[in-house]
Amino acid sequence: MARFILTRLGQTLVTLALLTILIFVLARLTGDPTPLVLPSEATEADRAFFREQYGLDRPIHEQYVVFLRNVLHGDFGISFRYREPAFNLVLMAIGPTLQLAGVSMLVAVMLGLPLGIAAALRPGSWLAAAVRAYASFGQAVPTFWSGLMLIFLFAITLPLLPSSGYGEVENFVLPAVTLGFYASASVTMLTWANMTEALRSDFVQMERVLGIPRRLIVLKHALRNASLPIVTYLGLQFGLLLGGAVVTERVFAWPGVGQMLVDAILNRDYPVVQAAVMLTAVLVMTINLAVDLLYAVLDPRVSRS
Amino acid sequence: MERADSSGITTSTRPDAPAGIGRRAALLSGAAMALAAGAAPARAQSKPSLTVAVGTDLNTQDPCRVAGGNDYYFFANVFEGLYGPDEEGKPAPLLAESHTVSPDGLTYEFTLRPNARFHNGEPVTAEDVRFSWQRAVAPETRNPRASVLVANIADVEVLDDRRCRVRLKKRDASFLDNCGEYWYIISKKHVQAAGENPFDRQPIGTGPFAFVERRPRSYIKLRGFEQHWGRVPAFGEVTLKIVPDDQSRVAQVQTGESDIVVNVPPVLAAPLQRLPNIQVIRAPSFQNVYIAINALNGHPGLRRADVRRALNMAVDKAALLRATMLGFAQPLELPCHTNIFGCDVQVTPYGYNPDRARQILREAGFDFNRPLRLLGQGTGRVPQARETLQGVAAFLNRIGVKTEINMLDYGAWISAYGAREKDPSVDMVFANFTDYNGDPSGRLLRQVRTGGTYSWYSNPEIDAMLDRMNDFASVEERQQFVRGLIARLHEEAPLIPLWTLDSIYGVSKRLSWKPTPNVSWPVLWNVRRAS
Amino acid sequence: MSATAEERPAGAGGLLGARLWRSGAGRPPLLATAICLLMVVAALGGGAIAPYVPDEADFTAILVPPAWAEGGSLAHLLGTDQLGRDMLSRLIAGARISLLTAGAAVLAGGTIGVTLGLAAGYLGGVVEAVIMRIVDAFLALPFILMALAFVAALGTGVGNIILVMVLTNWARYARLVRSEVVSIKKRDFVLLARVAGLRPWQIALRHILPNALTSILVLAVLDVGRAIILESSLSFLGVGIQPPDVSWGLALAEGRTYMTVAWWLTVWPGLAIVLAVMSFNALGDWMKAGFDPRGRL
Repeated sequence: MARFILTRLGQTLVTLALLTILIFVLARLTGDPTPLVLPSEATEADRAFFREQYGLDRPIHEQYVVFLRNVLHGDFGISFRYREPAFNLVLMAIGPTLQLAGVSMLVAVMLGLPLGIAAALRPGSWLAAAVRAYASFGQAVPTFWSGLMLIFLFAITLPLLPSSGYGEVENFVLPAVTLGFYASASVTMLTWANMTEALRSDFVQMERVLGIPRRLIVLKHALRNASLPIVTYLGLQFGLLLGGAVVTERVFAWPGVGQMLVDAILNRDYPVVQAAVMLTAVLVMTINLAVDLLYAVLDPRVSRS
Repeated sequence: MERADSSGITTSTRPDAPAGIGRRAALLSGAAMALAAGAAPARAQSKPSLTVAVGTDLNTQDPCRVAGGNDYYFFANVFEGLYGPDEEGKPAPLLAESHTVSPDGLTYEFTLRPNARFHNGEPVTAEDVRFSWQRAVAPETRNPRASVLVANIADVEVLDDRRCRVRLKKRDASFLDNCGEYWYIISKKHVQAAGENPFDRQPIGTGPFAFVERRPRSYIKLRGFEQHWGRVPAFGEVTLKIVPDDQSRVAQVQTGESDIVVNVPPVLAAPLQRLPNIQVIRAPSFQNVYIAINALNGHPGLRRADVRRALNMAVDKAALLRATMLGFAQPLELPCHTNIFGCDVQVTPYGYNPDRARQILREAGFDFNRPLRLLGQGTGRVPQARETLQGVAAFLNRIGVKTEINMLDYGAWISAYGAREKDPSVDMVFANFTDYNGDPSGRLLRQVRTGGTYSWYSNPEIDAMLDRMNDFASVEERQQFVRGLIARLHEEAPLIPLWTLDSIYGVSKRLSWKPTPNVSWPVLWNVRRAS
Repeated sequence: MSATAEERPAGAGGLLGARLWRSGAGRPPLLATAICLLMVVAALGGGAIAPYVPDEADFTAILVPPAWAEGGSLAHLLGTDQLGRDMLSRLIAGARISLLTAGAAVLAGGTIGVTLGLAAGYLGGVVEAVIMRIVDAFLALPFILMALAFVAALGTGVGNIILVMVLTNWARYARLVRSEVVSIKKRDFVLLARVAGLRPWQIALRHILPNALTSILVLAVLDVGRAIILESSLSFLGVGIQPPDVSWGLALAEGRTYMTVAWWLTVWPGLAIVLAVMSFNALGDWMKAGFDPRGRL
């Protein structure tokens, strides 16, 4: 067991090291930030000074060493665009993103869990068919499309909710529904599959024979059995939402990491690109690691295979 | 003005708690303030708030580091020069009350307004003017735009508190025009007290609005400056809310979350106009849209002026303007808008004549088999940029010219467009250029002079004219000269000018506002509540 | 060899459908299959079926509504866009690009991923460690962000979009194939083959790959839908397919500003995306039900 944990930790560290290279190269591949940072009146000397100031004139491997050393000290450099520490900018944006991902997850569970359970309880019924249609529709609708439709309906046609912005409770509704709807599709399918399996299990069958009320069986036993894979999946899904919210954040002008990263890439703002990708990736990897370890604890076979 | 509760982004800034410096200043100079603005602080706090949805965030709060047109959303409201645009967009004295100029055009003497104040309550003195110049040219400031104006100042001499003498190194007829955007007056005391990067924490200027707080990529909060020498806003707190997405931004005014929305895409303007509580306000801007022709090293045919003129004839600009801009722009025959100095010259328009265009190309031995490669903006700040370039290509195709379009994201586009060595595999570039004021000299130098950042054209004769264009003492003589230059450029046709955009604003009917014309960003001090 | 043949399930290929049928996956989803086929026909037929040249502007017929709506005309069944281009022709042309990018991305990404996954799973040791850590690194990056950075780096254009999509999806195949291989490797027929003296690459190709193929196929079909959405998201952010090429995502992105004045610019491409993705997903789910009843994918 300890060996498994150590191996997984080691693997994660190696992956992180690889990530730094990938991110560093990716950021630099995007092109020269100078014309985006300086006005067209800037002289060649101004441009040269800018490159020198940020060390962009040095050979790429030297730049990487500097980058890595600074990152190990928690320093991601100064944003070209905002002239503030990139890490602070990202920290400012991670809050809104985590909140949105959390609330969306909640929406996804509130929609997906009951639907999945209902479909599992009545296989072959019209309800199951409707749930299947719902899930396959949810997975197929691009979030920018559903987001726009929601704005069109609930912010413009019926002015009930704010169309964009951040800070108030109302601001959460449309983006969280957009993202939650998308995530609910897979939560539904997963709940459905696991509930079906749990209901078929000998244990539940026996309880049924013993005449325990159906509602109690479903809620207490079947759901409990089905919940482990669902919870695991939610953990992974949460990681996906962190990065997958880019488009939703754009549509709703949500000041999160996704939108910051899109802007940073388009602005060739290397330090922000590096800090934002790194932080997101570390979050995702931490969640994955936690899920793996949790699984290993709960199911010892995993660590042995 | 009634406002929905949902309007605020954060509740952290209470209207009764202005930024520290502002409050201290108010205490320090209470008497002077009451005199200057004629308004008590209590009244200032009861003024309503205003929310404006803008598309982009600032690059900087430092007036010596302005990077682009979008920064003026901030600077045009918070800072001022000695001169700047009046309500008609014409250069007018701002911090200066008056000036005299020597016959040789080399020495300007400015008298400052007696009641001009910084946001910290300090009066604006001649010493501040001198300091503003010194900081703007100091090498360690790294002012990327020093070359336009301040580098040409030989000295600023302080005559007394309110008078100073500015001596130029060489004559510059565009000096007063450029004073607004290239030489903001800053407070010596503030800068010296604030240490490194004084404007990052507390940008203090003299404009009608004072800085309160900023959350990068989210909002900028300002407040009406009650002690302003003349342009006292009708609003207390003003929030510039950053909403990059066009549709979401326009929705802001539809839902009442914002009172004004800037850069409404033409397509969304018409439906917006039909709404009962919203007015669509148009103001002529100086944002020009054109196609730059690679006359340097692209398709060999493009090195001939007659071919470039023929390409101008091939594009039905009026039809394209109707189709893509829905009429929200002014057609452009010359490289600049007619309100720009010297661009009122009369020329024979190219006219839309595809048959004549094809004939000229044939006579010139134009190679029709080699397609023209067009570079476009896939993402960017120009409305309908993709449609426009596709439309131009469609018109070129009609006269038998093949085209290949390559759309780039803004960063890649500007790298290619402004590259020092122009890419020979690019034949034409969709481009936009915003004139910061009514003088064409700065822009033309970068756009058509040999080696200019955005110049894909080279002609010694034009270069010589450009180098001379600011060396005039007499306005009339200069006007004749610039007209001649513009007419020559029309013949040479290094560009296909398309149109000058209108600034389109969606404004709540509870407000009345006449945006400053020929200024491509919102100047908000004259927004009023509708009576 | 004959000993292994029995244990090894029949490979993919012609028997696929029959196997699926028998395996209890049920009737194939007819509507979904029909839509997928229709897409393929539109993609292959392209110019021959389309009534107009898809990127030909007509400034006399701008924003014409669909034929049945007020002001519509039969000349343009689904209406025209902001440059007077025929929507139906653009949808057909878009099917080609959307399917081409998605298909090519899945095929190329799948091939690379399968090869590396096979190598990692079969060879083990250092090779496996290196490949799998790279896979982890790629999977830790949110794929749309990675795509965005690659587009900014490589530029737009169909070729580059495909490349970007390959770079973002190969890792999933590698991970899947590796885990399949690890489990298959221990089965008797593979051990027998090794004892019989077959070379490692022969074993991998002849015995391991066919066994993993079903899972790969299911993942690939499901991936087509994902790829279509990725392409449209990139186009929505302004860095996807660029004119004069036509894709559904691009049409949607360009028509987006017109949503309140000309609904047909966004509704048709949106509908096309949703239908296509739903169909490919339904097809994939059906295959999954047959091959993978326990839901390991």
